[in-house]
Amino acid sequence: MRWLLDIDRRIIFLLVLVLIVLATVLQDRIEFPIVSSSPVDGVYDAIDGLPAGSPVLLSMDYDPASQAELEPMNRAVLRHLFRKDLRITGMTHWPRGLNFVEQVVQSTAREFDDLSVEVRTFDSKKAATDHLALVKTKPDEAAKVKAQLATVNIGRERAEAPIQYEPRLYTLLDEVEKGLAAEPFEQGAKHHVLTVVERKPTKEYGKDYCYLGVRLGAAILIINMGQSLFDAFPADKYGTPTRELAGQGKVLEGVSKLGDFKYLMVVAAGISAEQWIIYGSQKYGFPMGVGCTAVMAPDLYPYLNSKQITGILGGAKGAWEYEAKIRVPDKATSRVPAQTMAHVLVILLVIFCNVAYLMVGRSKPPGAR
Amino acid sequence: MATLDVPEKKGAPSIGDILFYVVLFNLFLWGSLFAFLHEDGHDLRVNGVFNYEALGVLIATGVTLALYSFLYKDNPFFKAAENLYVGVGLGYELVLVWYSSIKPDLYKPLIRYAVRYELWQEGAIKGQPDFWLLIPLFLGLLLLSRFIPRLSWLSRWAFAFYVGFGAGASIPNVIASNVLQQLKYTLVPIPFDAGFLAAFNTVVILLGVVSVLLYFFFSIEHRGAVGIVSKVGVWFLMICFGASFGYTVMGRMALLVQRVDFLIHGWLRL
Repeated sequence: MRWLLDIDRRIIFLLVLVLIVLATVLQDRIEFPIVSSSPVDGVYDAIDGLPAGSPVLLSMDYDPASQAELEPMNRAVLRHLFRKDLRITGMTHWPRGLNFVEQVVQSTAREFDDLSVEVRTFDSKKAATDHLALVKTKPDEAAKVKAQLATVNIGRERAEAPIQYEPRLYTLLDEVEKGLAAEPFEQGAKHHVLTVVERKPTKEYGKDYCYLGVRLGAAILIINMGQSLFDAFPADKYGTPTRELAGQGKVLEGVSKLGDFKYLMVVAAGISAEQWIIYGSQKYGFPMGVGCTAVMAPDLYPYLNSKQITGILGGAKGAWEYEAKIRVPDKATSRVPAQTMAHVLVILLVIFCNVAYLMVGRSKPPGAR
Repeated sequence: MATLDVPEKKGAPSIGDILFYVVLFNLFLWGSLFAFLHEDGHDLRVNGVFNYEALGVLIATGVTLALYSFLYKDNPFFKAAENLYVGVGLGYELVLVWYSSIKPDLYKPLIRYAVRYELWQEGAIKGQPDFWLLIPLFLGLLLLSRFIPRLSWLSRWAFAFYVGFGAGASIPNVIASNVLQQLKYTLVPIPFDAGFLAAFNTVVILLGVVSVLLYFFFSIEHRGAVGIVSKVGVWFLMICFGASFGYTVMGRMALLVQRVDFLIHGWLRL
């Protein structure tokens, strides 16, 4: 029986890998219900309750090592902030995340572009796929096929007839440039091919959002920002003076220090979440929410209980719950099957090991009386 | 611990090792070929230009497989990938720290302003460097004296300033946030009107705080009533560690799931 406790750990690694690979390959066919928890509701409700035009600070303190857990929740929060027409000020404490999170901000802002699309409708998937191939090889001929013009804004969940908005449009139209077509998609009994004719940005840098970049100093930076945002960040990442960004109709209008922000959202992989609570929210009196890696989440629950933060997005679970709240199933949601299967396997292995331990404990070693 | 391989010769890779490396290499080779050759795969050229993004995906895949090969055994591929990660990360961060912090906060106001004037630097006078910056520069250089054994004692001055400022800034804020605020919401009346769950939650939190604090109070012997309460504290600690461990498992699995997702959808384009 002792062999039960001596199973090579590499077999367990292989088992986990096989299960996750299978779940990832079959992720479109497996669906689990997602119900948001009260810590996630706390963040969502706090942001949803802000009036349009409120200035919000988003501190994205992570790097590629924590991308798996934090980028999906960062993106989901950004979508919510943009959708609510809040004035977003982004920053980071981590130099390694400087350009990395900038891409997330810029790409999320692009999701709110008004896309003028030509909609070509086909009765069969093959006809739609053939047309897509024609767009790539002979665009002039493809342009001659009869089309209807429609405006789509995936960030605002809007689409004009003949298509209806659905979350799939996020993955279909994201990153599709002018003149190019998205993959065919089926709606009703028809197959549509959308060709982007024009992209018109609705979110303007400097007016709707800005990115201050990185400054070192951690807690000292926070205290500095609490006294004067312009001293802490004399310019944004692109060299524009922050005093200029605080002008009439600009993103930092009415904001000169931390206390002027209506909400702070921290997406953090390290201790900066606690530092923001201790040196920021507690000291200068503004509400805040936290998104963090799963490892850090247990340490932050005391702050939630004492109402020092409005809510917590803890790890991948927090990310997929927030995606469900904003009705945009993205990367985190697609990983639910694999994550769930892995957890079930770990639970079964823990039970197995405990049973094996008890059984071995009861059995006597060879030669014993 | 049972192993899968039988070493033939001390110091030489075993048959199992060789088989593993061959399988890994072939997985990378044939997987990459598949990734480029199948219908929805990567293109070698995009708009007439070489597809560097696909090259990046290949490198990322190679490094991912090399790092995960550690789960079988420590090996040169893992060591190479690990050192590559440390080196690239350090180099990248060094450059970023120079351009985001040292250059705008020290080099420009102290040295360049003697030559050029930047509009956004508040308080800087045209043609005059900001001499106050000499103090933090001097303290920073004192820190580096630790690398010279004869002069390492000088770094204590910088550390004293560092520790003193840090303690002065952190102690009142940490006490206000982590002690007083936490106490305020622990010692609250039981909210019977908010429902059974809220009331029960309040009682559990209070019980947990008191019992765990008593467990760590070693000035009296843990016997009798004190012993019982401290044992309750131990249970609370166990449950806390279990929850923390569960969250840690979730975090690590999420990282693995993301890597597998990259390999299947980013690399193989399935």
